[in-house]
Amino acid sequence: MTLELRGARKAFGSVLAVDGVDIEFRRGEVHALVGENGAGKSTVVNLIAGAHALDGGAVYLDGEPVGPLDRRRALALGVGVVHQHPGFVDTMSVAENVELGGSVRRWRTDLPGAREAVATWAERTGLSVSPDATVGSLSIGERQRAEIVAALVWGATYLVLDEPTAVLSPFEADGLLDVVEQMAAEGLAVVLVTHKLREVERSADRVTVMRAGRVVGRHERGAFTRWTLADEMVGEGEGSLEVPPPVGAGQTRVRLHLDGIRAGRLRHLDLEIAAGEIVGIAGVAGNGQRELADVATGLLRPEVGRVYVDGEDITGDAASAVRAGVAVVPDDRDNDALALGLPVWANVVAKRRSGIGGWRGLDRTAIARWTDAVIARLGVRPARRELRAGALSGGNRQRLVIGRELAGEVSAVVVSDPTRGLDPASAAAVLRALVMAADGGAAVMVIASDLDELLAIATRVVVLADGEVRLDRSRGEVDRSSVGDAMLVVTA
Amino acid sequence: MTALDATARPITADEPAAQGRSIGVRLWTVTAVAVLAVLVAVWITSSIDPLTAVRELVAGAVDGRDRVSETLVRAAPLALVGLGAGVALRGGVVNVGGEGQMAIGAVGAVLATLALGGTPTPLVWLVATAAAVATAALWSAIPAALAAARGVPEILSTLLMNFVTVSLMAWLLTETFLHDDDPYVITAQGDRLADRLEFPTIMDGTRFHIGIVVAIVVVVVAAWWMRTPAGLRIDLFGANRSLAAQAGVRPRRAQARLLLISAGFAGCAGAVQLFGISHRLTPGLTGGVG
Repeated sequence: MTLELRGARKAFGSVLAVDGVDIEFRRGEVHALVGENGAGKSTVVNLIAGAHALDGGAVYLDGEPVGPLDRRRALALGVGVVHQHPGFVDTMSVAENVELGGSVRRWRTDLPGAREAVATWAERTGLSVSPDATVGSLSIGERQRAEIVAALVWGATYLVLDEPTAVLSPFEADGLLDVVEQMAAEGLAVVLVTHKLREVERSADRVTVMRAGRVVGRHERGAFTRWTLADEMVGEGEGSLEVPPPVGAGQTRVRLHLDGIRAGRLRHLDLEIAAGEIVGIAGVAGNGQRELADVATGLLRPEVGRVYVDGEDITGDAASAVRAGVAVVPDDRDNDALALGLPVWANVVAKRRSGIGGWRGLDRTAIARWTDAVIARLGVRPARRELRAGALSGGNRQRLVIGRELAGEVSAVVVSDPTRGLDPASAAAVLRALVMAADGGAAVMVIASDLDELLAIATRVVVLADGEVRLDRSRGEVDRSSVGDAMLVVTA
Repeated sequence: MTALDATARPITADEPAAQGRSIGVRLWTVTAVAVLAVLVAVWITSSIDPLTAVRELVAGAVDGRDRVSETLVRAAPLALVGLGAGVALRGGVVNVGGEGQMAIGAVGAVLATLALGGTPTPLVWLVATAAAVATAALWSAIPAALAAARGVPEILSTLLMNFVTVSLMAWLLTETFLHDDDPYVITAQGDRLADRLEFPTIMDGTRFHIGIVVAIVVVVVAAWWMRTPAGLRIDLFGANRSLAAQAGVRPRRAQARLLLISAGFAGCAGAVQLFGISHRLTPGLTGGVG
């Protein structure tokens, strides 16, 4: 009961995404596929799901070659993929979505049958999914559960979950992993594509580590730890995972000053950030973090209050903020930070108002120089200016954004969840760049839902609760639990 | 408008686009095969040689001085209106009101000629064309304002404005001072322009007028402009408005500006058609180029 890739090869243009990969998925096992962003994990998934055609090698089911796959054939063989970004139709119910996907090869629909199948599988797996709930009304965790159930209804015996816990709270993530283990125990093959090595350690019976399109490690349960996996993923001489601590606030010159801000859920906020400081903003999501980021970067005009950068008023004026050297790294980088359809170079110069040419046309030489500098500094791969930004992996997209924002004169940096969804090496590169910006004299604000990341680089921690500053201490005066407590104070 | 696509060149290697492309390729293949099948069926069942037909089609457009010039005469307003729509589209703004904007531009040009009276001809052309551009831009300020204030999709409002313009033209050309002075004319049409205001033709015996040269120059300049940093900013605005906002672009303003610029090109087409071909306001002046 196995599904195998042997000698799989896949190139996109001149980029070899998968280069001679042998991998075997067995029924009854949780198989974790790990690697950095861009290591080729998604391509492997797309190859067994029939989304991409193989350039070389073949797929074997129970040792027999199955010939070229397309999506339909892959589904018939029992390959079901639940992607990181849910694909259901929002306005339809779960059962209708299941029927929409399942009825493709039939003449008529069978909605009652779909409802029953959803209910049955929900019951069997313990995934709570209501067949009649409208997909648009579900939380992201519920949608994901619905998609897993849908894959099972469609006959998945090789169930691939792509970064399933990236969008879940820690509690939800644990619950999902329980279900994953149970499904494997019942005879399914579950493939976990993930960065979260803690989860791999917890749930995987077998791990395949990929790097640069090749398999660099195969392990069975007990023969690996998250630390050995991290080393393998990054490879030797490929840059370290170390993030040096910031020099810290030796300076007192205030560069970013938010004065009496009220905006949306942010009820009242005074905050001064000095050169060299990295202020970590912690808080349960939805306590005004989004408003804080938008106000601090001039994108949102607060109802009350002013924002000053180096003494200059930039309130509600993004153009002034850019001129004043405010760097922005939004949490949703695909939608808010990059033009995925445009080439890398266009994204690099997107915020530059001068130095990229004039009426004679774009100054291609200057643009190339800028772009190459950003690519080199943050190690964006592949290092190609003309590549569409959308062709980069998640980690490289974030490197590109950080590189663009931190190039040139930076006075203040406002970043939201800078390492979310990144592999360890990309995360380390991003955090190093932020520390370097602070050491270079910028005022840095890191808004993060991940406390560990925040505590790793912050020189000062501010907790937002109920739209106000609940706690404001230097890093040395707080620990994980005191910050956590402050986040969770319940108000009447 | 291939010239306009040059700045942001998409590149090959990537996963989602590769999927999109294969669907695109399949769609094209299916369409091409279907069209080919119909053509072959027609060929087999009729006695006409299709190659003759193709030859006639091409010859009709480019065979001889008359036909080349006539092709250009027809192409000039199309190019200007299309250019306007294309520039806006690069910024993600869909202007399908080119037809109405062109007509209203021509009205603006006529009003300018009436106001200018005996001014030297080249100056009248210049001012009247500017007036056409301004009138069309002003006309598109209605959908632009609706979009900015109420979020009305410009694709709908600009389309519907075409119908408003048709009625407005009919009224202007029958009920107002713009109606032809000739008492025997009862149809909707305007006064004939003074002879001196007609664009001179460049080739004898054809309708190849200097407005066509103007159109070509405008197209070249616009194509050039789209390859400058300003053009790149339009591309960025079209590709990701959040990113453009972070770069200091105000989305509502930028959208309105693009719509106005786009309409300006259509207005220019109105002036070119007025002085070059129709020499008077008529309901059919635009020739359906929108």
